[in-house]
Amino acid sequence: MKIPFAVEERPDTGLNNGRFGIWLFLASELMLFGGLFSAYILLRTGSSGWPKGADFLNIPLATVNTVVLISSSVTIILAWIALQMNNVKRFRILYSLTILLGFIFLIIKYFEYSAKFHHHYYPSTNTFLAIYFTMTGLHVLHILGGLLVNIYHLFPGFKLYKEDPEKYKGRIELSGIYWHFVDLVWIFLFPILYLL
Amino acid sequence: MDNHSSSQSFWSKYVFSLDHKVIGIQYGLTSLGFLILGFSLVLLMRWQLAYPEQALPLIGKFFGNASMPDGVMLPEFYNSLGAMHGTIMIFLGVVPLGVGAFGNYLVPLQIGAPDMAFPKLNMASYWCFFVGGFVMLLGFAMPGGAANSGWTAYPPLSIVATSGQTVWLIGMVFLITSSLLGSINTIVTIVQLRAKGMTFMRMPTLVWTQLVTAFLLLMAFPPLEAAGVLQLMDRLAGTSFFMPEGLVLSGQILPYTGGGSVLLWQHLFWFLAHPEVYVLILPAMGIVSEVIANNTRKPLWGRKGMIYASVFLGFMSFIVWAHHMYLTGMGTVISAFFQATTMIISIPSVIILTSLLLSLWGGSIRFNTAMLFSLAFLPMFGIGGLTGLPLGLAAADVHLHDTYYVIGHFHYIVAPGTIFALFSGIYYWYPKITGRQMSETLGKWHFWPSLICMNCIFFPMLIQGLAGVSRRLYDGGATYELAKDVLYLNKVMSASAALLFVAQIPFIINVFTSFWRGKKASANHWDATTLEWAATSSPPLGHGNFEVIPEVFRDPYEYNPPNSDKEFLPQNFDLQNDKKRED
Amino acid sequence: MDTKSLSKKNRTYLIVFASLMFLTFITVWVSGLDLTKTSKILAIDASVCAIIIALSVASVKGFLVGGYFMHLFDEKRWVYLLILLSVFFFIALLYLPLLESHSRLEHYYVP
Repeated sequence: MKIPFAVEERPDTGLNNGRFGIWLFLASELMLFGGLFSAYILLRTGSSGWPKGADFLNIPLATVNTVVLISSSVTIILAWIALQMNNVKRFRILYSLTILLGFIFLIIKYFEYSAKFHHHYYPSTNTFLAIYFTMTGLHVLHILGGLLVNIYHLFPGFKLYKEDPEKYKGRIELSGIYWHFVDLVWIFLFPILYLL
Repeated sequence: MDNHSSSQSFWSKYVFSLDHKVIGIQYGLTSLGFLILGFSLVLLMRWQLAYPEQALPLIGKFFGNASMPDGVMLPEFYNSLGAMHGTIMIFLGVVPLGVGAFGNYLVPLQIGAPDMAFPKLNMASYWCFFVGGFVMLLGFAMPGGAANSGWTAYPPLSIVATSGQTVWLIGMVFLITSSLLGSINTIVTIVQLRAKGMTFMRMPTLVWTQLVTAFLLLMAFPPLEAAGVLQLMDRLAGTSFFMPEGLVLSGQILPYTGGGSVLLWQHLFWFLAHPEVYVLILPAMGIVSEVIANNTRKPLWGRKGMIYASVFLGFMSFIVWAHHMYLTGMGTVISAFFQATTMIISIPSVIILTSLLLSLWGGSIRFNTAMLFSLAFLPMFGIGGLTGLPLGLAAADVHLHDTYYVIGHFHYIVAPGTIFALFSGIYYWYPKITGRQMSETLGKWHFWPSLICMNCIFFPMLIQGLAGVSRRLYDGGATYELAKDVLYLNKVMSASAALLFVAQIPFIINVFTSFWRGKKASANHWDATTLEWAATSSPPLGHGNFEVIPEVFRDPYEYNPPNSDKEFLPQNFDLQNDKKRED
Repeated sequence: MDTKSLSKKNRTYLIVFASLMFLTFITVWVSGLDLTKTSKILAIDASVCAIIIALSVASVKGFLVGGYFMHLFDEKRWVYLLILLSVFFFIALLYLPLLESHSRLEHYYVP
């Protein structure tokens, strides 16, 4: 049995199921991070003193990470454009590059975390570090999830391109939209945790 | 059934099925099981409340020394039972039945869709729910017992609680994931997969309420997930998001760095839990309006008003949550804001209830069991709603907060309200689901005792609460002088609760025997107009929903239409075609 | 979509990428500056000044990512409606608890 509007757009809404679904998912993700941002604001305004990010955190490393994540965001959208042009080789290079950049982000994050632990900075040290570890940790989980999906699309999922190229293109677009959202969250996490 | 479905194996057909109807039935059976379990837990509590510190006869000795030495309940076990009763009834019983079962089964059929938009997500949603429920029950096996900080899991109590609380939090993460997947699926299905001619305003009320409910689940659950993560961090990583400085437990200063806010949890929790109330009640309203329209044989009065009211209700439910927190010392200005929004949100509820009540006017009512349950829903929900108003006003709440009045109030909404509506839905759609009728005699043996017992349980709670009996007392108020005059009610309530349990036996027998022995039902057993009856066989096909996807020509409840000789006009009935054929 | 409009899009994305990079360095650079002078001119606290600047830059960046990369500029009505709804609840979730926790202060005696 075939589900209608899985690939083609429904005329009156102008959407296909997947695109609407991913936006619903992101709306709920927004509320998830909203809960954490709310916690951050409430704890910060309620505290008698809040450290500057630079007192505990490594700003240059985080700046590099921001650059890495934004670059991965641009490679994934260029990959999608390449796929639209049916340029499979270019698509695969750019998509692999996205995954690579994702891993670089995680590796840098790993060094950042281990440096904290080395200095005996733990989530239990103070509330600032607690919210730092929780928010970035949750963000890392989102990166990991995105990487798993992207790797799936690049290797085992690629056979769909031969069977139903339009459906595959749709999936790549959705993976991109999710990846940009993860980037977007980082764009806000970076200033509020590190710079302010 | 077509050949394709019979070639599937047992596992892919009934267990890991992608068909929304099978998943709906899975949700239904699992959640009915959880409802019975949650009810059994409260029966144990009711024994303790009526006969404090007396040994529970017969089964008491089976519970072991950790919970009930010599059959006498320990206070910790009582707390566990309370927390798990709330959690199981809300997150594993009523919501999965109303949203998971009825939503899954009926939404695609009523809008003329072949299935849900994402069948695999649908299956994943059910199995997340199943695992979440299983993890919740694992809590009972933990040292120190299951979660015992109430279903609200307020810190600091929940942070210093035994390991059952950690299991509770992990279970909640699974349940939240499940409801997230389910709600995305429902919304996409309703927006994208409506059949030709099924405009939004032609959708049956049940579909509308499911749509609003799905939005509530989608937007309100994630903050609780965030709060759950923070609480897990507090419990496992030693952070102090919810822990203020210098807390002392049993003479020891707790090793938390401090700086946290206990109220932060309350905000994040009630940001979910107030919309959750409407998640409980909206599907029930949808079911009741279907049953009432069908059994009064006339269109719903003010159907569009009801639709707008439920959308407004859903929207407002996000900005009333702090009325659960009046006694935490909030300022008067912000308390006035939340009192105002709380009063405003009662308006759409009243619109819906009034429309349903006025729909009865002038109808030739068929008093079958489904209709009886729906009719009972109206006054029961009315009592529940009206008793809520004093709680929404800070001045009255000072007296009533945390008393049995609160328990009576929300149980009137959920137990004889929502659960009656769900029973009504089961009696109403059973012929569609199984192709057989349920016994009306057993149904009436189920209905009348249930109605009486429900009121004998929950009305005395209102009286006790007005007398000032706290809801947290392990002995039901026996140690308090002020409770002396209303203490006898504990025995009344407990006896009624036991009888209510007995009253469910006809229902259980009815569900199982009718499945094999019930009279065969026709495809449109109740002469209904919505698509699930009009265009499908009974039971609907195992795989796929319709032989031909129907086209919709009119509003959902065209019973006894003027200018027509027909008693009812199904939504997909083409009048012009019919006329041509007659000519 | 034809090749021509696609390669045009390609160029747009690269421009967006360059602006995002530029804004990243702006925000890091500003965070290292001493804002006391600016804050005196604007008559606000230096930390508030820093917050305003950092969050405005982040919002512009978010706007670019959302609008171009996530194709929000040519999305459909339903998606806009959804985003509007979630942004409204997001603000309620952020703002109302804050307002509530500040309202408590009125009950405390401050000498």
